[in-house]
Amino acid sequence: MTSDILSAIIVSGIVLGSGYALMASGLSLVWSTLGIFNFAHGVLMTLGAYLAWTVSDAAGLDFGLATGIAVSIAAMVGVGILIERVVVRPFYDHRDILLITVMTTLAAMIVIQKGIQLIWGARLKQLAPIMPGNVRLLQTTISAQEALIIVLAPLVLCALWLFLGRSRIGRAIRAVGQNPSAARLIGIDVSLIFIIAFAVSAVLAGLTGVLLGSVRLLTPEFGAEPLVKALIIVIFGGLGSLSGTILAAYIIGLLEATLVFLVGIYWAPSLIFVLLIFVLILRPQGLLGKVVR
Amino acid sequence: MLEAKNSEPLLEVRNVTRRFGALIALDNVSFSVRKGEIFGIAGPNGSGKSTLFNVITGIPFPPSEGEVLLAGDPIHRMKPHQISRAGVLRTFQKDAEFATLSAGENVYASAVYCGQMTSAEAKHAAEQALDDVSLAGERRTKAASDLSVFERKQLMIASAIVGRPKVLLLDEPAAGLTKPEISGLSDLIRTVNGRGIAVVLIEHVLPLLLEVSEHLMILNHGAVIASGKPQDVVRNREVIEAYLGKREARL
Repeated sequence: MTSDILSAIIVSGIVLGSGYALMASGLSLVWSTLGIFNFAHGVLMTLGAYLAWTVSDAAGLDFGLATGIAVSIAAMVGVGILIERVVVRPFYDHRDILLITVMTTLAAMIVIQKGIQLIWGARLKQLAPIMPGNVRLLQTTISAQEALIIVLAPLVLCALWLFLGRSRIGRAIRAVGQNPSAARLIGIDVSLIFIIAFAVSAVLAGLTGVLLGSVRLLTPEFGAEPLVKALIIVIFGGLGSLSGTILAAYIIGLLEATLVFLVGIYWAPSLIFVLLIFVLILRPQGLLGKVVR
Repeated sequence: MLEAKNSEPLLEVRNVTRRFGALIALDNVSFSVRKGEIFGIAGPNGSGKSTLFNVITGIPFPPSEGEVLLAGDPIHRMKPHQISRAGVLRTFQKDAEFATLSAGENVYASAVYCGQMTSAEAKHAAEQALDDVSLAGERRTKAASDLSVFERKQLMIASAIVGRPKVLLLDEPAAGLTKPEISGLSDLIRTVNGRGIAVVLIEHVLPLLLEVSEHLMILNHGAVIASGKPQDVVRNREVIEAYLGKREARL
């Protein structure tokens, strides 16, 4: 393996990992706060990208990219709250909330995905890049947008980290995740925290969509594959551990880039799964997950 | 009206009923707790004691019918965190602390969120509350999950009193404790009460209940079967029957 091939693998692995980290951290946040998987998370990424496209593109409202991104992010707050209210909240007191919300969030995913197809049609779309042009990194040329993703993802994740660790609401989110009864007892409005967790998570999904929407082509299934990857990453990283999720995202990104080079794009996803199953046999709690007593 | 002045009820439960489908877990329960009182509640397993605490605090559910008033104001329609902030706090039978936080951090969190204190105030109040329950030294910096059963009870009570409650509901605090620890718990309850906090105590350990309670209420099948001075209540025939069955009660 020559050095330029190696650097190409590393760079594309980091680009992939950055996108996965943004995507999976939102999924991880909802899991660690509410103990459910939001299967509509991927389609929120799609919706975010389509909204930004509609507002910004010349074929849409033509208000420019910055407005498009701002509108999309603001709308995602509302969409996150709506999903929490409609498909999750009615089942909070139910014993089988985990299983029920698998069904209801899958249903939300299908409804939104079909809605997108109905509104925007099946024709491929693409967002304009935030940063046009190319950049050279480690002897490899990538688009400036991909370089932006590499830089922006750690910044956003750092902001999320600080929010959860330092802010009053962030700490309340972690308290609710650890022990909802104790959180209520010490005067935390748990239902408000659930809404905030969903809204933040939806914004992260929308942001991923906006960033990847100029690197990939937009279809109603745009978020389906990233959702599956994000699910794997959250489990692989250790359920409930944000740092585990982020670490796992970059590992899977690099692994995927390596496997695509070695065995081709056709077999790479299957091999990732096989490797993960082996890792989870050896370490069932995931990379940084704690063994539950 | 004159005698009501001194015994004005602080926490009032009026005709509270809680149903789960066809099951009636609480059946038209009424009682009131005066300011600064220690109010004991006993009853066989499944008699609705913990459900009563659940509906008073709204964690995890409110009553199906009836009213709960704190100092005359209705609280049964409030959200759980509002009830906590209004001054009704509880402990649980199961552990209800943040396991990865230290004892000090647990109490601090309670002071910040429930007591609505600034960081500096909360730190000071947390130290004070831990002093009050005599949880000292290195145990304050240990993770809550590494504390002993009794230390966790101390922590639970410290977390509750730091929020300056008016009423503290203790759900079987003596469960799993040794005899000397139960005696320590009895002192702890008196200390809390000495701070002007009314205590409602659910307990199976009757000697503890009889020792500290000024008033004792017995529940069976979700209904109040006896209520009054502890020494009178334990001699009540219906109470003995509820605990031991009719045949033994006749003996």
